[in-house]
Amino acid sequence: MGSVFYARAMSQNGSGTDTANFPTAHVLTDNDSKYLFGCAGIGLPIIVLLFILAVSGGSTVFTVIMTLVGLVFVAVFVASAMELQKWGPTEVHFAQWPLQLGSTTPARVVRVAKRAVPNASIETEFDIECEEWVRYTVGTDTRTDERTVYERESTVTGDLVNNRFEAIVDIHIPANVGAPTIDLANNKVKWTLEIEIGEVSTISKTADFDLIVAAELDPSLHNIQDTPRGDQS
Amino acid sequence: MSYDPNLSIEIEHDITEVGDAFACTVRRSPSDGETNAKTVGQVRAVQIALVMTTEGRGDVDSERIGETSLPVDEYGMASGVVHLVVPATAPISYDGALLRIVYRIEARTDIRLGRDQHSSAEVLVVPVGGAGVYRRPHPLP
Repeated sequence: MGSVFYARAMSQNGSGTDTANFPTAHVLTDNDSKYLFGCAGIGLPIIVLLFILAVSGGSTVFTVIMTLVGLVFVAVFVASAMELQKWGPTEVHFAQWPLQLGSTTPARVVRVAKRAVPNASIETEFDIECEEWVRYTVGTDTRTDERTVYERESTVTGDLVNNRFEAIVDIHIPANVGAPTIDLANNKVKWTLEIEIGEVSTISKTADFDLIVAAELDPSLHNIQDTPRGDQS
Repeated sequence: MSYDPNLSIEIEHDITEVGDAFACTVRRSPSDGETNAKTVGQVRAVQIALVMTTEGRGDVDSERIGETSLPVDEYGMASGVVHLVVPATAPISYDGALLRIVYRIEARTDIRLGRDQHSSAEVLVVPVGGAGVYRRPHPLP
């Protein structure tokens, strides 16, 4: 059984999956507002600190460093605010949810512009990842460790037509690596999908989504037979 | 896996899917020293549970699922069939890079003023549709 994550381009002229009849079982949404609030939450205390330093005549080096850090947060804040003005949230529509082990599920990525943008074909990168995460205690320290057990990248070309960007990708969840989503206190298995709609400055955007993989085997694998431990050649 | 000669677990199928149940027969017979008048009535119960435990680098997450008990007669004998349901949302048996998930059926004899007896047997919890496929913990080869 191959570990395949493959993609196909959606096209308005009929190749690939018909987006008008796409069967949506679940929608995940990534919103820029989290960056906005995050930057505001970190940036505002820095600005207050800078004000206190300026008034009290503190260390010049420290003030310069804090000013640079503050500027970075302000820049991300402004970029996120501008992004919210231009584009709606990135949505991923899944034909089946939750995902199954050994299954290939079509997913449609949708992003709608809030103002008029020219039509374009845009390359979109998809990165699916399965990661084991553990937390352990050494003496009085609590540490974490992560291991990526599966990762596949793919690129498809999506179409931006009539201020609406769409691309379709087939997401394959392998049955021979990783595990269904596990969420215990100290031991987890997480699946994520990262989408980067890019290379055109008007839409460049990375979005991360947590996937749920159920403890359910795709029907196509119900008739295969595992070999007992030790019987493998 | 541990085994006490006086406490046996017979599992009908040691592989089951999440949402399904393990059926097992648990028998407890008194040891040689338990049948005299002084020890009668000391065995309080036989407790059976499906136990999920993690192994590996992370701290242990463990859960006792579907704990049940068998009645014991005054001579410490018990026998019965129990069904231990695996919740549909439970993790499956897994052998990963940093962590493993292991399931055991554990039986314990609760003895008053005595050392408890333990027996356990490892079982496999597999995904829905995987009962005829898996012979070892996920992932498939």
